[in-house]
Formats: sequence, structure tokens, C-alpha cells
Amino acid sequence: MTDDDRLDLDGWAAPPVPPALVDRVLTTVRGRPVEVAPRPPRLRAWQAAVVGGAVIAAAGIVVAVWPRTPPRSAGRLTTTAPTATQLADGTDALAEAGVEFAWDTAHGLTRVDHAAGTVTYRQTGDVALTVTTPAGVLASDHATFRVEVPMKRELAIGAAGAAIATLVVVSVYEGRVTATPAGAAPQTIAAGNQVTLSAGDPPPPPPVVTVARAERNQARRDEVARAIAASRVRPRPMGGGVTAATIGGAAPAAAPVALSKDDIRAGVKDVAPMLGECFDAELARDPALGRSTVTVHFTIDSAADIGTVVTAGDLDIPGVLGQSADFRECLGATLEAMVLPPLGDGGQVEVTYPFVFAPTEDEAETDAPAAHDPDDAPDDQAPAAAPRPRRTVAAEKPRPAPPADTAAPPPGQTARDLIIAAQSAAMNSQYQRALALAEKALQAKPSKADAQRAVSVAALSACRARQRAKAKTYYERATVTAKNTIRAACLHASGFDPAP
Amino acid sequence: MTARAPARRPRRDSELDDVTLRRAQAGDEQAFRALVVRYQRPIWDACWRLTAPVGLGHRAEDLTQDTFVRVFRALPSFDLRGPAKLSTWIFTIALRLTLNELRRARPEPAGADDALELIALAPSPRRARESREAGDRIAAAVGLLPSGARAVLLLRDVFDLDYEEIALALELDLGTVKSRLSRARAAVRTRLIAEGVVP
Repeated sequence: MTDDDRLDLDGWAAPPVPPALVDRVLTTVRGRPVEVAPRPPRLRAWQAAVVGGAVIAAAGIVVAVWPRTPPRSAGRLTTTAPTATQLADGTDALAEAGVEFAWDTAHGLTRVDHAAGTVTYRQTGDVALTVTTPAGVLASDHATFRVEVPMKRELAIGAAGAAIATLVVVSVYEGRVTATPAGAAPQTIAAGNQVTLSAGDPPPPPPVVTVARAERNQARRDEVARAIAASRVRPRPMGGGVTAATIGGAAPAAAPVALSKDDIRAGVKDVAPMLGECFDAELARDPALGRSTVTVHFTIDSAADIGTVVTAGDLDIPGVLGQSADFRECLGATLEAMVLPPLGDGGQVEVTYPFVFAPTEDEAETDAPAAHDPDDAPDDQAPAAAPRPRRTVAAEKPRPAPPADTAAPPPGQTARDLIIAAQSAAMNSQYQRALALAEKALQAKPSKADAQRAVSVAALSACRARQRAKAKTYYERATVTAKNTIRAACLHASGFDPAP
Repeated sequence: MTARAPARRPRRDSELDDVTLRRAQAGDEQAFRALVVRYQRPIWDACWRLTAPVGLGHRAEDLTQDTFVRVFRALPSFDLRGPAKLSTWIFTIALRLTLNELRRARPEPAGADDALELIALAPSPRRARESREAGDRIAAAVGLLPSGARAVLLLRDVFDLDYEEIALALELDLGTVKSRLSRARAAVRTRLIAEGVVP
């Protein structure tokens, strides 16, 4: 290996060093108070970063300089941003966003019920401190320590059977902490050590039938997805098909490659068997289910260099079927597994697609309710042995082409994953994609804090993508603080005011 | 963009002079400020390049600041006659912090204010599209590497550390450094060739 093998990575430039980094470092190491006077949003963001970083390195120092609420004998706190609270004389708590805890100080003892999130505690006074977590009780001996409890959503996942035990991580910076896990002997954690406590009883495993079903479906989905992807790798006829414009009826300025109705029809047809599986699963739970018409709305957002992103939107599901979260999730996930050709140089198509689901007459011989394209059978033909989604496409007008989008697909389907992907896309100026991901996150039942993040990203992304209606909609839903930033950025970058 | 050795490599900042270093070790604030000013760019650069490709770029600032806080605390124990240059020693702290973070951290969304600001400051789509033609593809290719291999590649091909310095900073055998570097370069080059960034 020689220097001739070197890669020239100069084309990949890091951003400039954040302003005033030196001052913040010096402020932190000298233990001087961090400036917290009201500033424009830019400076508030940097302050948040200052304190966030300092927590990791010097929790004690940071707790000392954080603006604190007055001491209270008891209270309850749910944080959406880093918050410092004085629990008693000489006892402080620095809670990061997403924390839920309650405390009560009486007779020389502060008791904390720490349910979720990450909190750094500092106990220097004579008031004793105990912290009850889902995995055990912690007793502080003049300690500064950090406690990380999984968020409520993660706990819920575990409880639902994902085999995730409740793990609580305790890091001690100063002093000592005695940890007493539920049903286990106490252990002392000295300064400089980190211990992970596990809740005594792991969550029960999911029902075997459900797991088997899910695995089978996943495997099948993967298989079908691969087959679909392979089948799509074929030359497109020059000039063939209908342009994206004809779907909505209004031609965009430039649509070099078309997405035709046939493409959408073929994509739906490919996933129709899996949609049938969704219904089949519900039918297994409730054999009394009858015929049901489900109207799904999805958005096709695409860029030539990454392919197509299908985002499931509203699902109008009547009756008992509509009450099933599993069915909704299954439909949404299946639709989003659809593989479609790109819209060329970008664009967006919104599709409304009704399906008719009905129990099969002969389930014993049918693997799953199947979906049929109506072109394969006359519309006046009654549903046969398998339920037959009766397709009609009511596509709305395509939007102007968005910028090319090179972001990787979202790493997962949780709201938090989607928000991370949305933020990343937006920070890389991929606003159409960021907007789609943020909207998807909002549909994924995010926490309150995450919902605020998603709304902010959606508002600003819509603004910068010049989707004024959506920008105004999300601006209205943003917090007062975020509105200032969104409005300023909209006016500066896009030249319009999202405020009414 | 080329995969061959360019005519001039970006070099690390020259080392802090011994007098300033000794003053910083003695607790002189102005001297420590000079130290941070001298090394903040490469440390920020390293933290960002290690974290950004995997969606954790918003943590780079915290990691950079954390690095210098730790440097400040440990500076009195730094041995001027020891095996490591000051820059390598600081890199070591930064890399360990960052790699630990990468191992530990599940990606978290940036704070609302941070995210808004970063989005607000992002360039226009057209400008971004132009600038990321090469840069983003390199970032994407580098981001596919395991974090350890990414660190080796960056230390060698961006920050120009010697193999011995990389081994010291990452606590690896020299052979491991070279093999990781070789594999990392091959992987990135293959990806860039496939994407047409490199002929």
C-alpha cells in the first residue's frame, strides 16, 4: 500500500466550525454561567448545544450553571427540552427532552419516581436522594450521576412483546450510588463506573401464532419486493405510456419520464396479494367480518436518481375493520412496499384508491384473499372466490418537479426514525422528501416532542419547497418559538410569509 | 475528484509551541484558548466526518466541545516527551469519544431549534444539488464503512496522520491499521467508480 492508493476526499467538505466554539469551551471548563439571555433562535440553538454537550462531559458543572427553577417540595415534570430543576437544597436534576419524572421532598429525603428519559442528578447537600426507576431503586451518596430510562414508547414496544427488557443505564460521575434492582441484591456504583440494570421480568413473548404469521409475511414481502424490483428492471419504451400529467390532467412543465396509470395499476396489482393478507389476518381474528370498502390515499413522490417513494396517507376504513390498528399498519406498510418507476425528474402524484375486501367463499383452497386488477375481469363481474379490490384511480394533479433527492431511505418505520430521516433530508436541501417523511412521522403516532419536531421540519420544508398551502398549515401547528424561525426562514429563502 | 494522490494533501495544523502548551498545562486561560483555536478545525472536522455520514452530524459540535473539555482536564498529564504529538493526543480523545458515541448512540432527532436552524441555513436546492454532486457521494460511500474503518480512512487520507499515529490513536496494531485502510479505500473506491464519480 502506497500513497498512490490514497483517496482524495477533498470534495467532501465539512461545514465551518460552529461560531464561538472556543468561548463555549472556555465557559464550560471554567464553570462560568452560560449566557441564557433571550437571543435570536440561532443563538438559542447554540446554547442548547453547549449544555447538551457539557452534560456528557461534565454533568456536575453543567447542573451548577443551568438556569434552574426554584426548589419545590414536590412536583411532576414532563420535558420537551433540556430542563434543570432544583429538587431540594443541594439536589438538582438536569432532565433532557422526553423525561417524565415526579419528586417529593420531605423529612430530609427527596424521592424521585423516574419513569422515562435521561436525567442527570447532582446531590451535594444533606438531603438524601433516592430515585425509583423501572429497573430498581438508586440511592445517592453525595453523587452526580446520570440515569437513562427508555422512553415510554420503547417501553411500550417491549411490553408488546418485542422481547426488549427495560434496561436502565446508570453512570456515576462523582460520589457513589447504591443500586437495588428489583428482586436482586444491592450493588454500589463508584464514580467513573457505569452499570446497566434490567427490570426483573422481561416482557412476555408475543403469541407464537402472531410471530409465525409476521415472519411468514415479512419473508413473503421481501420475496415479492425482490421479484417486483427485478421485474421493473426493464427498458421502458420510448414515448410509451402516459405522462404523469395525464394522471392529474394538467401537464407539468417538464416530465421527461412518465409514470402512467398502467404503472400505478401494475404496482397495486403486485402488492394486492399482500393487501389480501392484511384482510386475511383480520378475518382470522374475526370470522364474522363481512365485505368492506376501504379507500386508501397515497402519495407517489419520486426523483429520477433514487426511484419512487410511496407514502401512505389517510385510510378510510369503515366499521369494525377500521378499528384495527394492525390492519391499518399492514395496509400502510404494504402500500409503501410498492415499487414504481420514477417520475422522471421529480414530481408528486396523489392517488385515491378504493378496494373492496370480502371473505372468500373457499378459504381452504385460497392462501389469502387476492386482489385483482379490474382490467383482468369485467367490472360487473361479482367477486369470485377471492375478494377483489375494485380499483379506480382518482389521481390528483401532479406537483412541480422537486429537487433531485439522494437521501437514503428512512432507516425504519418509527416516528423517530422518520423524523431523523426528515431532518437529514431537509438539512441536505431535499425538501420534498423531508416534507413527505415528516408527514409520515406525524402519522406514526409520535410523542408530543417528536410531533413538534416533525411539524417544524414539515413547515420549513414545505416553505422551502414552495408548497405554500402546506407551509401555512404546518406553520399554524408549530410552537410559538418555532414559528419565529420558520417565518424568518420562509421570508428569507422563499419570499413568502406563512403567517396568516 | 480523483482517486489518485492529489498534488497537495491537506495537512494537520502545525503543533502548538511548547511555551504556550506549558502555560496551558499550568492553567493559563489564554494559552488554553490558543490551543483550542489551533486544533478546533481538525477536531470539528473529524467529529463531523465520522458522525454525519450516519445521520449523527448534529452531535459533532457536542463531541468537539466535549473533546476540549476533556483535553483541558487531562492536559496537565500530557507528556511533552511522550510518544504522541499533542495533535495526535487530542485526536485520540476526540476519536474515542466519537467512536463510543457511534457505538452507543441510536440516532436521535436534533433538537427542534437545532434542526430548524440547520434547515433554515441549508442552501437552496439548486446550489445543494450542484455542491453535493461529488461531496455527497463521497460522504455516502464513506458512510457505508464501519465506524472503525471510517476513522482509519479519515485519519490517513484526510488528516494525514502516520500509520503509527493512527495505531496509537485507535489502539490498534499497525497491521490492523493498514488492512483496515486498504479495505476501506477499496470499498470507497469501488463505490465511487460504480457511481461514476471516479473514472
